[in-house]
Amino acid sequence: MSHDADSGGRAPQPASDGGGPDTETELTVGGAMGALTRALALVGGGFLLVATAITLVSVIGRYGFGQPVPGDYELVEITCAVGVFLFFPYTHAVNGNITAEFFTAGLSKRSRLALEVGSDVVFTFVALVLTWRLSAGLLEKFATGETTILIGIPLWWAYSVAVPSMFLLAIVCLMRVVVEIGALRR
Amino acid sequence: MTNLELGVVLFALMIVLVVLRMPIAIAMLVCGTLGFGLIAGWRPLLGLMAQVPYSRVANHELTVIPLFVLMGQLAAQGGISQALYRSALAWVGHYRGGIAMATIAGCAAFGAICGSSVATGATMASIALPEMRRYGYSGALATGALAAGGTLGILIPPSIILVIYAILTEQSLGQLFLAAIVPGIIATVGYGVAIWAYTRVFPSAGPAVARASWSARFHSLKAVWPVLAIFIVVIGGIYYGIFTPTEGAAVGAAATGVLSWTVGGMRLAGMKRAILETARITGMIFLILIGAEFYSSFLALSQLPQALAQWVAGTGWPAFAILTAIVLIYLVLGCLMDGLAMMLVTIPVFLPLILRLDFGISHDAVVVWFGILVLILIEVGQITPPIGLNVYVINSMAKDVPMTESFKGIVPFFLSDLVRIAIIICVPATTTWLAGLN
Repeated sequence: MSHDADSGGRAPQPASDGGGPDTETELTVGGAMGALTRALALVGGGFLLVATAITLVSVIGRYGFGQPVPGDYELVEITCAVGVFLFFPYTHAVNGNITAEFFTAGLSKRSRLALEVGSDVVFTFVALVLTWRLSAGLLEKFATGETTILIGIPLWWAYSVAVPSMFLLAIVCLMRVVVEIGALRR
Repeated sequence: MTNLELGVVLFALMIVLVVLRMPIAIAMLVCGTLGFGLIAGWRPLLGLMAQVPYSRVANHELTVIPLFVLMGQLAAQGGISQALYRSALAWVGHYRGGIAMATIAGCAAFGAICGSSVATGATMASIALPEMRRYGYSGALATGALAAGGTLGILIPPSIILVIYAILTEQSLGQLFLAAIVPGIIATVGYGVAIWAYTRVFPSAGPAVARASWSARFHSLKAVWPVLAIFIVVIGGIYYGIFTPTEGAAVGAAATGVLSWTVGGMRLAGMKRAILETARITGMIFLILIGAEFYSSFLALSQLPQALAQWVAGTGWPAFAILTAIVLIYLVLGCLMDGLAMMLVTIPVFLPLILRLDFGISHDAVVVWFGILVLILIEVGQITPPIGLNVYVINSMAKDVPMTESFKGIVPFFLSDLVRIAIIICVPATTTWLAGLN
């Protein structure tokens, strides 16, 4: 396996700028899609910073003024969730999902590419199914008007970020399939 | 086909998919959903799929993960590691192998604010590697010390792996963090001893540098105390319930960000890099957690872990023999698999088994003790060939050192790891004592 459990990659390398396939079979999605996923990841990071700030204010409020931010858990939970969903397309676009490369390292580059086509086709399918199921979740949350318990944030807000993010992930997978098949034909 | 047989078949299918280069998250998700659908029915599965991806991500306990990842990445962007290394060098540089020892100590200190091993090793390498080479250290010792030192990042709390273990086993994160401190100290000292022994056998591999004056030594500690303060506030605060793990991680991330900005010279570009790295790692972890949720729901339905536990318990082997066998399995798996994936795949199977055995300590103590053991085995997996990730990362930063040299350099540290594993197996109190368990 080439990626790290806790840090998720061969650490310091510019992973997001490459367009087509490099010397390895490893592909990153570049171009407009690469830029879009990167921008969304930065926005997601912004949500994380907001969650950090809310938590800090809440801790200071609790110990300094005896009054935490109302519903701080819910706010942090939702801001983090939105952030993480925005990360998913970026992670796959820069090849950040861990795979076991060791077992197939001895195969020819073509065989490895073929295996990757297979795995990205399955991944596309999975991401599409999850998009479908999350949309069902979105419609349900919208219809029932379910909210968080303390401060009543509608859950469909978060779902409406999750659905397009998951769909974008499916497109990233599909683009990888196209690039991989292109590389196979060459 | 019985549920149990289905469990075995789909478990095998998952392994096959992983071997065929499918991302581990997707392999777990595919097999988990298939199995769940076949056992519990497709309609319940569709219902589950509408909930799990969101509920796994929007979970207050899990919000601690992105925040700790962010904290580590912010630390890696600033020059904090440089100051820690300088201080350690002032104290131990005049011993034979002293720069390597300082590297280990610097990694240990950096590990107190960074929960990732590759980030710890790579950050320290950018400073210590050129120095060691300049002073004539052998490529083997220089890269070996950095690769091994990096693993202290996941052992010494905060540790992303421990956060995930805590959630997986519903164990107190504060206790797990505390439980890792003594093994972290043993590891640091053990690596120091390994360097000492290695440079006794090969004196030319790591010459000493000039001795620093006592005033310079104490002066250098100025750089250490902010890091120590963050560590104590975050870990102590979580353990004593002054704040929740998420709050502790937020406080730690903010404090580390400020430290990186003021002392470490991080600016907006560094901040952006830290955020993108955080995004990549967090996305990877959460996709695996979603896959693992389906996978473990299915495993629980199939009763496979329970059947295995029953079978092993029925053989009547002594508890410590079974534990040793599991440790050996982890050592082998660690050579072949990524640590996080290894843990998520095996814990639902091995933990029920371990919990059926009698080690003479309480249930909670066993969970904590076993968790630290697994964590250490994951560390070892990051430096053992053929895919010791830390070794690859460090070696790629040392252009003139062949890969075989780097793996040779690992040997003393690997032996030190084995001794540490033996100590922790024989003396569970090394983990449970500080966590207040018995």
